[in-house]
Amino acid sequence: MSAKFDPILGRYLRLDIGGRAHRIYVEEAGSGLPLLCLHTAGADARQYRGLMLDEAITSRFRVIAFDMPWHGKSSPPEGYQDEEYRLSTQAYVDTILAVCDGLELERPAVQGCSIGGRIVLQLAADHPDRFSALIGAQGAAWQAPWYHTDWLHRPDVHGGEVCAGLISGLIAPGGPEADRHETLWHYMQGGPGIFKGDLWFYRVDGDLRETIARIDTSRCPLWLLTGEYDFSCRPADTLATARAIAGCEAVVMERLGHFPMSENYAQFTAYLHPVLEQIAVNTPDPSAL
Amino acid sequence: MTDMPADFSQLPVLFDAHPSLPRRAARARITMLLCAGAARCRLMLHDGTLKVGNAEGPMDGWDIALRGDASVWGDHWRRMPPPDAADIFGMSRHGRMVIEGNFLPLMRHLQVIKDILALPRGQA
Repeated sequence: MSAKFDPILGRYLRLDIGGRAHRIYVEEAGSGLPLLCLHTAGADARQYRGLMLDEAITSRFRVIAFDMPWHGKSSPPEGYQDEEYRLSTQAYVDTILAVCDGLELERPAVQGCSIGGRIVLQLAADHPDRFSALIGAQGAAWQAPWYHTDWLHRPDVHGGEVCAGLISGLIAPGGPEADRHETLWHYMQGGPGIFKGDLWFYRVDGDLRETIARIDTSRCPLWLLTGEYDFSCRPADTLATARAIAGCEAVVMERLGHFPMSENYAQFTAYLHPVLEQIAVNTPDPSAL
Repeated sequence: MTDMPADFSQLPVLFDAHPSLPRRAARARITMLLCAGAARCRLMLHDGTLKVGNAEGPMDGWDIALRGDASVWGDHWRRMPPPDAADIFGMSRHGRMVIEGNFLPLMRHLQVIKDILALPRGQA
């Protein structure tokens, strides 16, 4: 095999988030409508490589994904050693808006998964005019916990291995083995306590059952997509959320679990492409204005 | 004495046939009580070896128990298991399995234990 580069550009973006200096790793591919992608708790932007290599998408969308602070190649801010990482709803929204401002994105579409699928509901409620469309994969306003997060960060259990071991059951069986194991690898590489810290948003600070009453999908369309094998954010959780939001479209995806974009991208495209087609048709291309 | 469930008895043979499992389990020490309805056995994973034993003897202890109907194990071992039987915690979440006991040795070696318990998948 001859060597070649993937058509993905990765760079570091220096910006302030919540008054602190950060250096955020950002990848992008394609051109057209900006599509900002939000990774799951405890992982990083590598989960979106499938989208970035999908010419059916990159021919019309500028696909952008960034590693959240403390994740992947976005190191923690200075002084991190004296604090415990905990992701709050406000900090998560501030991060997304800061990255949009830093990249000068004009009403991007946003696709998030898991915690990213949850936070798009907050964006829909409070910032609908800043986005052209919102897609929440494995997203719901709330779901009951199924394990104690203390297991994710303790000295007598290997953090990376237990994080991967827990979430492995959320990947649908029957998908590509290489993609399954790369998805797990991302979890094995997370920093100590970071997955647990992300879940503070998911479990403690991010109950959005009242927030979703403010969502007006006429200002910003909203889709929710959930894999049938996800027992963390179950299809019933997503469908209950969708029923509470007028105009929200929800789809249960077959043969997919909690990580549709990385565990089985080919299967995911059957559900993602039609949504992006609607967004592309209904949203003016900023480069054409 | 309860007869050992046939499917569980196959686990050591399947384990030994899988080259990476003894290596991955080299430091694991855990005894699991596996229940399929009324049938039960103890699965002992110690230092890279796997054995199945009866669970009815005096003081036959265990670290953690996984209790479910025979049907949930059968579903777990289908080539394409249904969404409510693809993972031990998923089976618990869907109300088809009870997991109780000392979770520490399970969580220390979670993935390899999951992989061992799923070994019969697609064998039928």
